[in-house]
Amino acid sequence: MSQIKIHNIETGEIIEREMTAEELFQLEKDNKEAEARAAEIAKKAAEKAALLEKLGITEEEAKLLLA
Amino acid sequence: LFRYGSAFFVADSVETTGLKWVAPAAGGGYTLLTSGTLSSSAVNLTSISASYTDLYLVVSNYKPETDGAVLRIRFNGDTNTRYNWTNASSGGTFNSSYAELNATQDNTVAQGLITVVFRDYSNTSTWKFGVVEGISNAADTATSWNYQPLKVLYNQTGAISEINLFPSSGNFTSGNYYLYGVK
Repeated sequence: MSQIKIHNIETGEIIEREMTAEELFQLEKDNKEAEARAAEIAKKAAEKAALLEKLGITEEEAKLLLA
Repeated sequence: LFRYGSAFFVADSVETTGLKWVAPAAGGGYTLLTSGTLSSSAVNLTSISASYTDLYLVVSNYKPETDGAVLRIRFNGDTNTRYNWTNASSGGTFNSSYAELNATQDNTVAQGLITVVFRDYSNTSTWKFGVVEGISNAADTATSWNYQPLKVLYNQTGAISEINLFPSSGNFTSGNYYLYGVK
């Protein structure tokens, strides 16, 4: 089970407890979003590398062309 | 009203010249509202006082359990798609259910520092934003840096009374948070 820490600034009280079902659902949703975002970034990086290879230039040379 | 150094030249009909010098009113300064350590899967800072002009959040030595996990933020426990973040002057939609505060962070060496200023966080008529500056240990090579000047964006007008921090994956291993009120 995942835990959550709640720090009440007004009272100074700190509670660490197990996440509720709703919080766990949100955590899983967040993790899936993170995986999807990471996959999208990796895909774009691979596409960029493939394009640079096709053009036969380095990333620095591509930056020079676009500067 | 004219300013010279730290003093102001203001109109005053009582003065024979109609003008007088005045010192600025006392103000400014940071009040530490709370501090603590990052642990669990998420940390919620609740019951934030609305008595300050700005909030200043400092997160030091953030270390995630998962290599490369980014530090994320929400406000007021709001998990709806009402957020975004940007590192440039631009425009767009609020298409995320969180905002991000840094680039990837290594999970073995944590020497990073993230600072966020939330301007006029307690007003109830405008969208909210935070100005982020942060440096972190790159996930692939911990001796390399990631520097992130970001703006976190939130399209709700209610006062920020709660800040929710969580890594993009896994638990916090360690780290510290400090929240200041700024007058």
